[in-house]
Amino acid sequence: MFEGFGGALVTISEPHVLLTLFFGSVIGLIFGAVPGLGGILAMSMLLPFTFTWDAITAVYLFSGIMGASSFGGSISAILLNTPGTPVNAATCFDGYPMAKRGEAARALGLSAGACLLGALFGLLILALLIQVMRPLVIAFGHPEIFWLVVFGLVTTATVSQGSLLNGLIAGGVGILLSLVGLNEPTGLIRYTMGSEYLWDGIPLIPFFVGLFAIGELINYSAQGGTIARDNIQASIRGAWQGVMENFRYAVCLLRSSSIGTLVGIIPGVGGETANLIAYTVAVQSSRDPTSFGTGSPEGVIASEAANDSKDGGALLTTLSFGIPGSLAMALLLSIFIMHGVSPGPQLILDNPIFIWTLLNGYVVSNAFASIFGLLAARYLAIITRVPVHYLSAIIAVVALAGTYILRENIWDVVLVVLLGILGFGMRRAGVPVLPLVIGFVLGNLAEKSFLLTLRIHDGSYFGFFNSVISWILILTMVAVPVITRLRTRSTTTP
Amino acid sequence: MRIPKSLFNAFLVALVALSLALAAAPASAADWKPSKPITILVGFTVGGAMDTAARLQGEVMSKLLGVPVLIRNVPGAGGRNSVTILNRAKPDGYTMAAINLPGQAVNQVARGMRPDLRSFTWIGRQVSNPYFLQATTKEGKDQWTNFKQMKTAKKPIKAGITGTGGNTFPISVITANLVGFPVEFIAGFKGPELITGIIRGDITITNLPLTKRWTTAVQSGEAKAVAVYLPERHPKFPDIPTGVEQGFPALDR
Amino acid sequence: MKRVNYSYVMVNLFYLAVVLVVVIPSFGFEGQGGLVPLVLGIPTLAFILFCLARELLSPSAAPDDTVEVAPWDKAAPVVAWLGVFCVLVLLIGFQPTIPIYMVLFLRSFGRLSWTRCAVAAVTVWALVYVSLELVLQRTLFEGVLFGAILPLL
Repeated sequence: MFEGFGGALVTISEPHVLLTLFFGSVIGLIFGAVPGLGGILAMSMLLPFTFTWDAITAVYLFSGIMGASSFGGSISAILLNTPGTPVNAATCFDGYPMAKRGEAARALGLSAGACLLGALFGLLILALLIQVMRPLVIAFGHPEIFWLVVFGLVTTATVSQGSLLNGLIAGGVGILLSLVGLNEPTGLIRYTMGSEYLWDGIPLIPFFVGLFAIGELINYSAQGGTIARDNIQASIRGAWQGVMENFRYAVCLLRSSSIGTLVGIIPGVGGETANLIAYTVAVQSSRDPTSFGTGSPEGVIASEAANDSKDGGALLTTLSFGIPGSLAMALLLSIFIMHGVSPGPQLILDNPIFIWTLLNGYVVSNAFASIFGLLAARYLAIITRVPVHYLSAIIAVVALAGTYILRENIWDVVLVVLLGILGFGMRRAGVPVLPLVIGFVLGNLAEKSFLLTLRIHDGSYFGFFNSVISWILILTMVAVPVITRLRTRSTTTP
Repeated sequence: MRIPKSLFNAFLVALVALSLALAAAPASAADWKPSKPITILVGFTVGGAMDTAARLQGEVMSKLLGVPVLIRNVPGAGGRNSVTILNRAKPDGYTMAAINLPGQAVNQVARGMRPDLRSFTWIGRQVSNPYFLQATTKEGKDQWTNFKQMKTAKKPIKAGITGTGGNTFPISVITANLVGFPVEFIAGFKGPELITGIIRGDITITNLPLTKRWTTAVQSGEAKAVAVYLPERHPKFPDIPTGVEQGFPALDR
Repeated sequence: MKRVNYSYVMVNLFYLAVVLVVVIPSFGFEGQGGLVPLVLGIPTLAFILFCLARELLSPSAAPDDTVEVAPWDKAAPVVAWLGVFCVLVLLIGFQPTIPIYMVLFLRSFGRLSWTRCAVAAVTVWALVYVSLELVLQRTLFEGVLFGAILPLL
């Protein structure tokens, strides 16, 4: 396993490799930060050009893009309440309130630290488990995915701020919205009201861009002034402090990274799930659950650590099994195959240098991104002090053009604006957005794994309860709220 | 998924007819010298399998033809946007589309999609990869080793498919009907999940193209291949019998 | 003095529409197609109706100045501007719309001088053009008036 490490280390010190990696990281940062674009788009655009490159350089380029894009996405999530990529959605909930409070740099520092540490955690697990991976992937079937997703959905209800009823309604509506379109398990086309556009369901990225970016854009444009409301002088300081705070919340960091890695390992559960589940679990297990949603550092850490650790988990499945856990991994696989490297258990024995190349590249690009974040935080934070009419015009143009580019479907642009109005209405009405988003992301997966489990077990509901992992998930789901309740009681009655 | 029997049969006849019609005559364009960029429409998002293949092809095509080849992603409506937009484009050879034929054939036959797929000029197969019928080797599940044995199945055989729009569905329908075994479709797997489903025994058969990941599964004994849809045995897998050998000459591709 | 929170009512009416669109056809699906939607949809429907009734019978809205979010009368112009952007893009495409929208918006909404408007408009347009069209080689929507094809709706 470790024999390729030296060789990979030698290649990384070569100037052209470092340059490629740096180039990849810059592309990853930019594509991550612009809503609508994303690392996947960058990777598939560059794929044909790398055809003639040698395999090691190509892998460095793509690991650079992959490593940096999630931090790039958190920049816009924190500064503008706009998740640059869907995996940064949960970062908005606390990162943006921090920026509004004038702590943008601190939030960026938190994110930079959490990204790097989360990525390292995921890779550590990768290195430890890569030889013994297969049983875990096989053990995680549809019933287990179902319980994991239900776990995420149930925690939502308990974390939503304000009225429980409003949270339940938003969660329910989110799930129902995710069911629109072609339902594969039954072959039915549901709830499209005759529209052809809705066949593939409501698209994820326009959903996020509309609800977050445009919803908030309407709000701050109407209010005028700048995004940072108070403490404007402090807003450019505190990045380093943010990085160090990751160690203060080490428990939260480790827990979120573990969740991220686990979600990454399971094939068929998308990356946009990891940050949301980690976030809801962080709220539940925090000593101060009420601070979430108002700018809690733990919220940023939970989301971003899960985000970057999930790549380690997904790589684990991809490398040891040849089964891509996500679209990004599927692309990476095709790069491997294109260069004559076949993934699967043999890879570790035959070509360890590839794995180390990939891992080194991934770590270095994460470090590049985080160092960049640290150095640039004070300048990036200036965005929160720019008069909003500039921001409003630029973000409307860039976000809508970016959304269009992704699917080249002009109706996506109209959908974004309509969802933006809904997003603003929800803020104005004081209705929580978080449960709607979680319901939307997890709903379809929940129904699919539910129906598949039933089918596989000939319609019997016992299929949901005949594995150890299912029971562990069910018991955790019941135990977490109980423990939270007990802990809050013990802290309030000394 | 249980498909209503009537739809199932009508569908099979039409599908076979359509597939044959489309496979018949590839266009010839030996003397064509393009003078402006060529666009290839892809009905799916950036980064998918079809998109990746089209991008690689575009790169080679532009070198051979000497003009830029642009890839335009027009996802939506399960890939049908590419068909609609191709139909509205000028038939001058500068607009092409990579179409997921089995899925769109299902749309045309079962859902009455317009335009008629036969009205296009078909250039060739984008990806040529033989499909194999896979069976589980998980203990306690039904073990299928050949078509003759599958015909004697008392309960419907659980066949995993991605969905009615994917390639695995028509292949499974045609095989089940020609061989004549009862089948129950379990849909909703993502591509890679089919192989884990087979290993886990969630499904007992599925049809998969030749990929690295099922090769590993077959080599390690976690799955086995019942048949290959080729006229002759695959050179890399001489142990796997063809559908033709097992008495079904129509299953040669 | 408490009044009805109309934003709350509107959002819940939207929810109600979504739930009805899902629940009503779900009764007609054969097999398990309607199972999950009904199990979730019917309780959600009940909750929404309860919340709507509660809001209308005993209003909860606080006076406006205590709400952190901008009121609708201030938000309406922004929404209208976004609508203008959509219509322009549909008609004439992104390339001309971006500078036109930037200039008009900054001039009327931000009250900037013409020079500043023009500089901002050209910068953003150039950025979008260079990055998307030149570097990525993607074509932005060209507008119905210039022959672009609308995708299926």
